[in-house]
Amino acid sequence: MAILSLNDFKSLTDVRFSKGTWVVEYHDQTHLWPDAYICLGKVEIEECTPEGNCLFSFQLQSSKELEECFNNEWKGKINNKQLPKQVEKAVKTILDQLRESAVRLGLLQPRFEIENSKFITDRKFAIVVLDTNALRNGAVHHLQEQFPSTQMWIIIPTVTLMEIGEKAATIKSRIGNEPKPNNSALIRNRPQVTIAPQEIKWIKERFPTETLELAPELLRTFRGNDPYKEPDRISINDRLILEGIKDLRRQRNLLEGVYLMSGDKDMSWLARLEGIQTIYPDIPDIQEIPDDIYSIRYSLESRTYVVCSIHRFLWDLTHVFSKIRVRKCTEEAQTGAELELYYYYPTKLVNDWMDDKLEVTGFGSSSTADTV
Amino acid sequence: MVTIEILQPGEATEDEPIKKIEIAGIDPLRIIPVNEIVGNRIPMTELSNLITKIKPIEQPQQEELDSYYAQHVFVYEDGDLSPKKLDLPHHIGLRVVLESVLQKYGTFNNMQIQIR
Repeated sequence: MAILSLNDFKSLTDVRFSKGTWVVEYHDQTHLWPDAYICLGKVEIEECTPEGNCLFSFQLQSSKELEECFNNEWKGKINNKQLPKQVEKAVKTILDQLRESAVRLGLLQPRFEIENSKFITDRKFAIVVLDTNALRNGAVHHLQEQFPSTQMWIIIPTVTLMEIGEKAATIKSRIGNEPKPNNSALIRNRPQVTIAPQEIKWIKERFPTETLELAPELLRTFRGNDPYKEPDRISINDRLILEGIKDLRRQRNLLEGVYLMSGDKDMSWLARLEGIQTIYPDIPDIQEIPDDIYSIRYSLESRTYVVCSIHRFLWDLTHVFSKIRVRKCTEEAQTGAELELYYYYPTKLVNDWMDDKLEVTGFGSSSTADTV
Repeated sequence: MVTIEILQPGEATEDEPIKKIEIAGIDPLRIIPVNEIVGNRIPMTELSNLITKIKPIEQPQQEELDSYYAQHVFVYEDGDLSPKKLDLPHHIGLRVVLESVLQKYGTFNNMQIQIR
């Protein structure tokens, strides 16, 4: 067992993935009972280059297969009437998150709907305000790939950071309690807590970045007439971002070039109605996703290959599903080399969160070390 | 070097393809069945069929690895924008480019493709 950063994990010499089929499964203590694993799909490693880079394809588990897995795991543990509804919800969440993960890793490309994209192509400059959806989808990576020569100034609103904090508290409060199937919905929120902060760190290292502070009076304005009624938190956050952008444009006298990048379709069209230019990264639907997602694609826009390593792939899935197990299928059985990555290990310190470390187990013994 | 040209007969001449992609390092002659159609025009409607048949000209022995891999191809790895160099099998390098072409131009039945 070891506590590793992604770079440490990549450079480990005793973890070598080899050609063949690997099964990827997850365990999440918020909605699965101990030792229960759900299969997410299969990784087929097609080629391993002499330097140890693996080119692979990922075959997603079908919704029918996922349904069967959840039925087996939850049967007898919850009310039979509730079972089909909970299973359906969980399957949808899993497939949505796998799709989002593939986009984040660069294996699938979002279609950008950009209002006044001519400004970006002509001036090669854009001030981009991000909401949490854009952060969790890795949209800045894709934008940079499509406009490689554009200078970007990134703005992260304070409410986006507040939202991350709120979601982190919700998820933390459910850990350690008795598993409940309806907690499968937490998977949807997890990238906001685990991936968005790392994305902010990545952005800060590469682009000029600032935080968009909001006037305190705005918070009072949008609480409505009834002081006892708690207003819808999401709509307040969206409104605060929109007002913040209007304020920013007024203060700096900017008529063009300030874009809101949001993965929320409704927020995007609402912002356009109010005269705010938007960038909307449209993620492919689950029906559009090919049966096999390859770890390499060619970008016709930037004219380069975009590659995702097997290490980064498993790393991202662990951030979403909390514990990932990967097992090599051998001719005899599905119990060859095995590796487990865990996000919420008990000894995780503040520095470990900041450095994005995971607990990695299963390598270093003769049963797991696998050579190319 | 491989050159992929996307042509629209009647509107663009052979000298003016609507899209031209050049990739250093990839050798189309090392890829089956692409080696047989190098220099010829094929309709876009046949591209999907071609992609499914792509494979290396032969499985490599240890001493042939240099010719199996296109050496030092520029790639963006793990979301990092600084391009890294990777040894990429010729057939995979071409296959993913053709898949991107198919995704973008696959619905235009009147277009043609030429690999050189």
